[in-house]
Amino acid sequence: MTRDIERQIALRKDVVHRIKRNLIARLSLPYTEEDLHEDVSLLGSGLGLDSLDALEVVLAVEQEFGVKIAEGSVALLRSINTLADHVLRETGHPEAAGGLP
Amino acid sequence: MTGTWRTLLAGMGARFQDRSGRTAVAGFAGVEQEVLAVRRALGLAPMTHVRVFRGVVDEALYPLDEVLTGPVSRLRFGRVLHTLLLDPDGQVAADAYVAIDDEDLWVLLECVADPKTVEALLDGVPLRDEEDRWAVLSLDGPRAWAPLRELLGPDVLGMPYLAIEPRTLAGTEVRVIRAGKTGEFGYWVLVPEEAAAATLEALRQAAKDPAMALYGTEALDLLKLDGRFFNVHQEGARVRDPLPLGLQWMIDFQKDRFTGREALMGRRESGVATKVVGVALDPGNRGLAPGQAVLLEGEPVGTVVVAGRSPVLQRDLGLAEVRRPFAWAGLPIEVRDGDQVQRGQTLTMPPFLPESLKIRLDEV
Repeated sequence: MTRDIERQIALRKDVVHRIKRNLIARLSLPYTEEDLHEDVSLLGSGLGLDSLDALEVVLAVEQEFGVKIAEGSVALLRSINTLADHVLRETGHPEAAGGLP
Repeated sequence: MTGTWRTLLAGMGARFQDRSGRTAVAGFAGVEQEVLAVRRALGLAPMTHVRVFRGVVDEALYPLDEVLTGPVSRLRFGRVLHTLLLDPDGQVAADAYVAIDDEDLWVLLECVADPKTVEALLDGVPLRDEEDRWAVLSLDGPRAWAPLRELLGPDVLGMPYLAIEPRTLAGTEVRVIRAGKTGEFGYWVLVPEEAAAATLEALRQAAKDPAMALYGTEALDLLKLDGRFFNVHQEGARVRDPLPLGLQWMIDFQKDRFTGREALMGRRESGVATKVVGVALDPGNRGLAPGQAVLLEGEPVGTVVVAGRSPVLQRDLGLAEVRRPFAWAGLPIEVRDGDQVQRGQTLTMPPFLPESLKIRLDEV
């Protein structure tokens, strides 16, 4: 594997790990990090988080990474992957984001 | 499904297909048109492949809790649980909704296992098979709520996600479930089968929407794919193990008993080697298909398990089972089909924001 791909995987892996660690700890989720698929829906179907949980997720990401999540950003709060994409873009690593170009 | 209901659906232009031993409505006007109706307005689907079981809460709740993977015994009145039925090897047999409505316990199954296997897995749970008594109609789309508001009143908009309510719709006692498996607003209407055609017509009339379409399972497969909802008939049928599928959220690992628990926990403890992730071909590339190899810098890392062309994005999308160290969104991949290699990427799913997420039901 080239260094670029290794670095891209390492960046995303670190962000995802920190998001999952925060979610599990702050929301007392009965899962391990391995259990949480990055595309699982956070709100509604999936983990079924409510609006208070969503606020906790916003605070967790803002405190952990120092990035802002604007009020009403439903698209960013859909999954661990959408949060990770936002963090990677906002911290200067858009190449590691996973959305369609 | 009774012959009468099938004849009525055929008269509406329905095409049929087999789904794990059940007759499903494959489609009506055409897949692309049906998908776009759901993504832009609303679609109405007769879910004839869904198996309907009914029991008495006091008798069936705890036996069912010992079979299904989710926390069935903690389900509250008026609510719905989305969970799984596994076989003794811990492989997916059915995608299940369980609902408690007054004294009734409803179990609605989309099965990948054949009918006899499913009945054997539910043996010992006092449930009646009522599939010939009830039809399931699914309303999906950013305006799925509109015909229900017209027929039932505005309070239907206040139904929380995964709730069930008894209602009278066009003179018939029905159960309305707020659920949905497309990423858009979704409601299932459980209606006595003899009243299904009249109820379907009442919903069509109440919608007053020229963009509305009847839709079937071929469109539903694409909607589940680009909406990233688990499809037991696609990735569920090909992978079967809920752990690489990412279905842990449907499993209560703290429960002492459910069918397949021992096998599943063994695999969980020893570590899961693969994960199912979203993939897309680059614009202009076509032909993504199950079985194709996924390569990362020329090295095989996985296999495509589901594929389709998203009418919304006009892109070939799929799900691939990829070795865990490489199962991350955003990687440039190649997909190999024989000698042909096409570029693409792994991606965050779903790859677009469904219209329903831009709408607040308390403001419509």
